[in-house]
Amino acid sequence: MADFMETSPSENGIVAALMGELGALLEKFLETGVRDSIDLHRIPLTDQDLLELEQQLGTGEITISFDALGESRITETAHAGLWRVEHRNPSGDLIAHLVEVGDVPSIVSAGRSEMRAAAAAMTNDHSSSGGPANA
Amino acid sequence: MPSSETLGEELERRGISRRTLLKFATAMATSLALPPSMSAAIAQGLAKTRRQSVIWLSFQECTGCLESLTRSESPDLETLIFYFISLDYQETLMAAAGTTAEDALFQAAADNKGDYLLVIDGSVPVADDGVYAMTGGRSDFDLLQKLSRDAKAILAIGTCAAYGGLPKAAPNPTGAVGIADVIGDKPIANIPGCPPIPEVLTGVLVNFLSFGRLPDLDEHGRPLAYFGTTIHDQCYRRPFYDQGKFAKSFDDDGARQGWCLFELGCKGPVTHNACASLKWGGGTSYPIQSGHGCLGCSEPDFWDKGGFYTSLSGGDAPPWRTAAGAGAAGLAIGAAAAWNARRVRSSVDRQVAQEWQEKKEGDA
Repeated sequence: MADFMETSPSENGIVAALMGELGALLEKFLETGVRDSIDLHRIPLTDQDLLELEQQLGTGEITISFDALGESRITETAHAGLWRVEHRNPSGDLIAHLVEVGDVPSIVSAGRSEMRAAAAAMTNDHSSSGGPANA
Repeated sequence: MPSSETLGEELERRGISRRTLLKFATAMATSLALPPSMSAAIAQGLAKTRRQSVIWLSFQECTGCLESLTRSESPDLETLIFYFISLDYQETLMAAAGTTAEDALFQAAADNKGDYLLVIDGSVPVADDGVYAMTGGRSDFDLLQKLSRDAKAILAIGTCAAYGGLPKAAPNPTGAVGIADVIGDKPIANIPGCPPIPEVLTGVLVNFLSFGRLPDLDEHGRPLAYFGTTIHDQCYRRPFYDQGKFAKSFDDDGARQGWCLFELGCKGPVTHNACASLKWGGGTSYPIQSGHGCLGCSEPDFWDKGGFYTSLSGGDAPPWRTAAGAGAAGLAIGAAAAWNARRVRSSVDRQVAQEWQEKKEGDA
């Protein structure tokens, strides 16, 4: 590994900049309800920067994972309203790495059209069997 | 053949969930420097569109662009072909050859007249009636003119297709030019780089599929989302530049400590590309992270802009080196540089997002 990785993260100031920006986005969400995120893929971060960012974000209470053509993992950080979002492809490669700002990450919510389809299916099952559908 | 089935219908039939499409759109939105709210718009756009016909021509090139692009990871080109596009012609990837391939080419163009996306890698030699690049008895220049006529838009892949590239390097014996130099009546997006970053092509393709148009471009015809800032502004070594810490050779203490490569010829300050953030090999690294300065390969005529190891200042340090050289001030300057890089990036992101939002509202 190149020696530049030994550079102190505090020397380049990127993690401090990111934490400041995340704080501003959190304030904006509280004021306006507008979600936002920072895409860590788009930012020039060294491994040490990422490590320091992870440490500063910390870990909260909730972890959500699901499989949608590859694993996705969402972790609450120690800062309420900040979520670490990692999407991977079927090969396990990281294809999106975000810190999302909001009450719940947008991808977690069930879709209206899918809920309507589910409700319709359940209603049909109920009427055709004369009783509640089996789970 | 064109299908009347929308991609949303096709994906649903294949059991692809809303979250899967949203996840894909999220990867694309981040790649295109768009906010999360646009992920839903991309997913909706993809669901409504139909499988896009893509005709890919290779002219005066080395196939390095295709080698790079088949290694895209978010999404990979195979995923795009499998779910979103119909790659109707690509000489290197297709099984057919000879007259069978040529028949397929012109059949695809006829079937999708006015709607196909024309992708081109390689420059067009126009000297001596274009005799320096012929396929099936037809010059590349003739083929370009014929197939561009009914294309919906054109993507010029790699620096050769965008600006002429290495074939155009002095003395340019074949009269090589970029696509936009000879085609003036079609929307053209340049995706330069030697080779180009694979995720930029897939991002532009998804942009086109989702919103039916090419993304916003800079003055050199490059997608603003990827080419809106310089390598220098995104470089993790930027703070060292502002602190006046420069490697003097590739094996000195400065190089080993990851100092700025400006004095070793790095062209990052004048090169617009996304290498420093998207990186290569699935986000593994990029030239500067590997210890070599940027060659400026995504800029027009980069091959003829002087030596790769001559600094932009002609061999001298930048004039503000002494002002920034004080160690005590270094940390603050480094932090300020990081803030500034974020601010520049955010400014471009906001501009792109605003334009997309306007487009989205216009479509609503």
